[in-house]
Parts: sequence; structure tokens; C-alpha cells
Amino acid sequence: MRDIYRRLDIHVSASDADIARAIARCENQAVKSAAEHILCVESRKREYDQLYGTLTGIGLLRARMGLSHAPYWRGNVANDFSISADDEYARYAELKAKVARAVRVHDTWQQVRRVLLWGAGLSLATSVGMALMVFAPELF
Amino acid sequence: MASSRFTPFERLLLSSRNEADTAALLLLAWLAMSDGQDALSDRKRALLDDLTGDFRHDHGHQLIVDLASTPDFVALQLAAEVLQRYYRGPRRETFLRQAIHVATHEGALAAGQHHVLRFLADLLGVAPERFEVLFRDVAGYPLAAPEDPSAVDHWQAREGAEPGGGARKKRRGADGERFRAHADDQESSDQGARAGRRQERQHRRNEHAKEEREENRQRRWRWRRDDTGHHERSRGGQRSGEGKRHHEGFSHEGFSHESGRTGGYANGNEKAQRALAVLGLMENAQKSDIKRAYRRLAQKYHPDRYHAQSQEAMVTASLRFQRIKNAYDYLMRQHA
Repeated sequence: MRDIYRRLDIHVSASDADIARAIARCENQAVKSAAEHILCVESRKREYDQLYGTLTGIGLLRARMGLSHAPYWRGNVANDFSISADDEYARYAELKAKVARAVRVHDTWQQVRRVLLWGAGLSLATSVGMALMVFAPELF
Repeated sequence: MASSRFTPFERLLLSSRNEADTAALLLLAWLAMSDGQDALSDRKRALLDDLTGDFRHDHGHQLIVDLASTPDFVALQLAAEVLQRYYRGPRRETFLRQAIHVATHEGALAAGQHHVLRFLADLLGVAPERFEVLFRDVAGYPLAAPEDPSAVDHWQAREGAEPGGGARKKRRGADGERFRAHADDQESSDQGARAGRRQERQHRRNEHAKEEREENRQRRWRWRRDDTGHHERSRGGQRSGEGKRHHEGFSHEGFSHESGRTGGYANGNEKAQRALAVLGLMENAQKSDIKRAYRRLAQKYHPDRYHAQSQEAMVTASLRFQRIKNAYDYLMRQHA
């Protein structure tokens, strides 16, 4: 499986006109004939694009998980669909960090709530006492 | 740090009774979906229902199906990491058996499923030799090389073979032609790389010898299968298995052949980028980084380390090492 789009120097989402122009521009006869044969026929292009999407995804996953040199990633596919490593990796660690942050927020909120509840209770009690002192002094 | 909200799959994972099973289910669903058909057939749905029953978690599979059919590679990466973390030892093989069953459930493997299966094998660190044994065990026929829809011959062979009943013979012929055409393509494309060509010829000879041995093994094995009454199953698979091995040897073409090709797409910058990708580096890598990465990879993947293993492992290792070395040499020339 070769990456014809890359060889033609266009994007997958390129329009038919763009593809035709790129094919006309292409100098390599092998690439040119493959592109004409596959990208100019709707049904073939659809199937090719589907596999292309899968392979692009696998290339991405492999690059991010450090599997670009694994034994089953080789030949044409590995040459055309490997991408350079980027900073996006370790989703699991990211999830753990998120959960830890959520836990921290939760704990802080619980503390704040307790303080608020105590404060509210105390102020309610004092205000009730004050009211009784003012309006029913004969009770004391 | 990306967005701090939890994605749907993360929520699912957190609420699941067993993280690893949820992750495994997503990966299996992805494998089932990458068969090149858009619609989720009833049989596939039944299969997924079946699988969901086996796993220990408390959720339905609707979200999983949605994620797998898009497919959402962020979720898939998370699932893969979880799997890598939790599945060790014999459990890996159990999972791979399940995966092979899912993939071969509806007849022959689609090209996409080939690649996904191989990714899963690599992910769990199961060596190709072991994985091929597993595949043969579960599917009843050997693992063939994936089809290549980027080759003209693939379409000619397929569309030529579709109407007739004598498809088998025609297909075989076409495969042979593809083999030759591919070879021609190779030869014409790397101008002046004589050493490379010689190496390739040597390699082809090796491949032929290997192929013959493989053929013998297959014959013996077919006989055994027939004996135990798995007649039809093994036949169907056999057909798809043979012939494809021909060009498998050529799928090993190294980085040098690729970079030697001057037509159309390959400008210097892109070549440098791909060389960096081979070494697993970022675009702004310095010369010292490149050297360090090369030394690390060379130590890790040097063919001598695979000496004790099978012939095939040696060949794979030396090709991989060749690719790394070619990338390094290219980058050093650029930086000189």
C-alpha cells in the first residue's frame, strides 16, 4: 500500500479537478498510471480512501505509542504512513492526571462546604438568640 | 495539556467495572468496523453483543460502536495504552485469538483488518512467528500478506476475476504479473543504486527459498487439516494465501530505494522529515540528537541480537536496521 496522495503532493480531501491537475503535473510514470487508475474511478477511490484513513490512523497510533519499529510495521506501508513523533502521547497518564485534579477539586469543595455550613449554622443560631433577646426578654 | 474535560470514552472507562475489558472491546469493535463496509451488519452486531457478554463491565456497547466507526483515534490510543498496561502473559494470546475470530468471522480478511490485526499483535508484543501460529490455529488458514489497493494490478486482477468461474487460475497469473511489474518498477526507479539492487536480488533469492519451504509446510499442514475434516475452511483460505507471498518480499524495500525515487513527490525537505520519522525524532532535531537516537536504535535493533531466533526474524531485523541506517546516513549528509 503506497500513499499516492503524498506522491502527488496533494491532500486526501482534494477535489477531482485538483487531483487531475496533480496527475498531469506528475513526472513519475508509475505513480501517474497508478493515480489515474485508482483516483479517477469513484468506487476504487472510495475503497482506497477507506484503507488510507485506517492506515493514517494506525501510523499516528504507532508513532505516539513508540511502535514505529515493531516487526509488523515495514515495507511500503511503514515508509509512507509513518509520521514523526509529536508531543501528544500517554493518554492514560493524561487521564490519571485529570482524575487526580478532579479529586482535588472535589476535596476542596467538600472542605469549603463544611466551613460554609458551620458558618451558616452559627450565624443562624446567633441571630435566633438575638431575636429572642430583643422580642422576648422575659424568657431569660 | 489538552482540554480538562473528560471525553465520553474516558467517562466510560472510569465507570467501567473493568478498564481493560472496556478497552479491549473498543479495539475489537474497531477491528470489526475496519472491513471496508460502511454499514453495521446484523451479524456484526450480533458478534459484538456476543463479545459484550463475555466481558466484565457494566455498560452497553452503543458508545463503543460509535467511537469505533468514526473512528476516534484519541479514544483508540487510550484503549491501546490501557490494554498494553493490563494485558500480560497468556492473556495477550487470548485477546489476539478473540481478535482473529472477530476479523475472520465474515469470510476473508479485508485489507484494513490486516493492518489493524498486525497493529494489535505489535501492541501486545507478540512476535510475528507466534502470531502466525495463532492465526492459523484460529482461522484455519495461514496469514497472508495484505492486498495493496495502491497497485494497478490489484484492481486488474480483482475486476478481471470477478465475473468468471475460473477466477482462481486467472488470479494466480495476475499475481505473477504483478510480481514482475513490481520488480520492473523497482529496477527502473532506483537509478545508479547498484549496490542496493544487488542486495535486492540476493534478498529475492532468499525469499524464493523461504517460499518453497513455506509451500511445503503448507502442503503438509493442509493434509493434516483435511484429515481432521476441516475441508472447506482450509481450502478457502489456502486460495487467498498462495500467490500473495510473491510480492511480500518486495514490501521490504528499504528507505534507500524510496529516497532514490526522484519523481513527483519527493523533495528534499520531505525526505528529511521521513528520515527523522524513522529515527523517531521531531522536526527541529539537532545533529547530536540524531546521533544519539541512531545509537539507541542501532543498539536495540541490531540484527546480531536476533541471531538466535529464526531466519525470518533475522531478515526482518536486518531490513529494519537497514532502514534506520539509511535514514541516519541521509541526515548526516544533509547536516555535513
